[in-house]
Amino acid sequence: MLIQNAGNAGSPTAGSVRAPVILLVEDSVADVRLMQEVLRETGLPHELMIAGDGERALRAIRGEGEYAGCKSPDLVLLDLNLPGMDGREVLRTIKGDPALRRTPVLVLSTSTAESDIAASYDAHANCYLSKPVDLGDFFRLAEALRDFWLRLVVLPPRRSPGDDK
Amino acid sequence: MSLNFLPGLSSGLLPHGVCFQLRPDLIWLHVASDTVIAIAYLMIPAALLWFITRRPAPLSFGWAIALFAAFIVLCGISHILDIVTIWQPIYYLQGIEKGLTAAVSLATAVAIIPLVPRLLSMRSPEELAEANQRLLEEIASRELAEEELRRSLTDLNRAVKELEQFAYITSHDLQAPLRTISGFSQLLSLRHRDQLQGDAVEFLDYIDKGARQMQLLIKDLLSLSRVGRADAASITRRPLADTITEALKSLKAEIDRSSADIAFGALPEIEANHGLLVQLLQNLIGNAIKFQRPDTRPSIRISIERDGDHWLLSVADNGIGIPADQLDNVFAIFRRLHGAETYEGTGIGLAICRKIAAYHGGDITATSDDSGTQFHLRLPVTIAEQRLLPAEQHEPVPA
Repeated sequence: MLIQNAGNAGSPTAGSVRAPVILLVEDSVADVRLMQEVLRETGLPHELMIAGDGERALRAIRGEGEYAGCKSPDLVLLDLNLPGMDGREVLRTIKGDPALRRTPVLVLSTSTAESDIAASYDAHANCYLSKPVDLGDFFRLAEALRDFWLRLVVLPPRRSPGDDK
Repeated sequence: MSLNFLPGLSSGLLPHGVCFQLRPDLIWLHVASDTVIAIAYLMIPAALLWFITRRPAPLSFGWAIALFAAFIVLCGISHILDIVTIWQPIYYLQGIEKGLTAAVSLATAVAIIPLVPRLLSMRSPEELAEANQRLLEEIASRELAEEELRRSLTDLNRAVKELEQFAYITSHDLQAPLRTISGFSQLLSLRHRDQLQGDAVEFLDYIDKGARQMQLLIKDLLSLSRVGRADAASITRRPLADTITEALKSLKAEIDRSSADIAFGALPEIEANHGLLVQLLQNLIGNAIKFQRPDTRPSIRISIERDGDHWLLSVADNGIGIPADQLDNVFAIFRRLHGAETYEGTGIGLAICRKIAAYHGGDITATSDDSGTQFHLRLPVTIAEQRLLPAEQHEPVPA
């Protein structure tokens, strides 16, 4: 499943306002499922795109390969440790590409190593979130994400399909 | 040559030349031999004098050499006088000179005899070279041993760091599957508890409880491994009261629930890694509250006194106490004196305290009596730099 519609289907968000598209870059299937559940619990309509590794993440954000024709994400939730190209490199690639760098990237990692946190901000991550262990904390994180990034923050204008190249 | 040309005849003595019957060949033979001997005898002390004055290092037995030189000079003079007496009968003068020579030569002989054993004990250049060689070999072998010691120490330090790194990384890696277990068991219980029948709810609770205990264990293991990774730069001077207040803040829930009475008098500023000290106090105060007699209000007293170049910080409670034979064991990792059903815990808290004490170059001990338990933390007043490992960059940790 590449794309999942969530939230209140048929709500008045359809029409002029499109539900935000979140790209979740995460290799653990269980963590993906948990994130789906907690995001759904927030009650905010959204679309979740999923990429299990770094290469897929870049194809997803560029709308290439299996993601051709998909909407470009409004927000990226990025795990740092991924098989193959890891999250640190994905972050550098996105932030080094003029066509992609305006998309907010939220690093979501279990690592509390200062070097990881510093390197993420140095590579222009929009924020660094510590991945919670407890389900309650996970819910709070999803609600904070909804309240801040999807409600309070004015996200960058969407790119039209032809903008990428 | 005629004797009439020579002075001194008035003394009534005959010059030595008369003994030679004034034979020129005999006279000249003696003159030549005595002249050569005199020159040689005068050259030897000159050479010795030259040697002594030009030698940079102070000379041992210098006085003996000077005495010897004087003796040779006098011998040389006596040979010159021998030549003179061929023509001049200055036998008194010659006798006096001989007497002087006798005195000096006797003095030299007497002085030299006790020197013989000392001279014998002096090493020959070969012996000295050999001794020198032995010393060089010993230095080399000691340097080798020292190098090996340094290498072992480096290896040990690296092993310790690797172990801490290992604990740190594995603790992080352990969190991922744990999140899966606790997340989904909680989700299951949240959404489907009503539909579960019979044992299912009970089993689910055990899963949840196990996961929570695991979470505590990982958290404590991470804290333990972080102690060794603490930065030497975080040693600061701060009022101990502030540190205690900070520790109490994080224990607010426990303190409120137990209405614990915690008191500390006037406390000094002390030098420490106060972040670690907060952690240590949290553990000690938390334990004091946790291991409480039933229906008794916890009473905790914190005090500090100076003992020479150490601070002695004590935390005393009125709790259940520790059996005397367990007082040392309680600081061992995973050591628990009570079942998880009676008192919750990971058995890591006091191991963290001990590691924090050791990090500062101090130690921690416990005493216990009928009134409760007392923990005693000894901290050096001045934290030695070399006690602390240098700060190291954390390796990227798996997310």
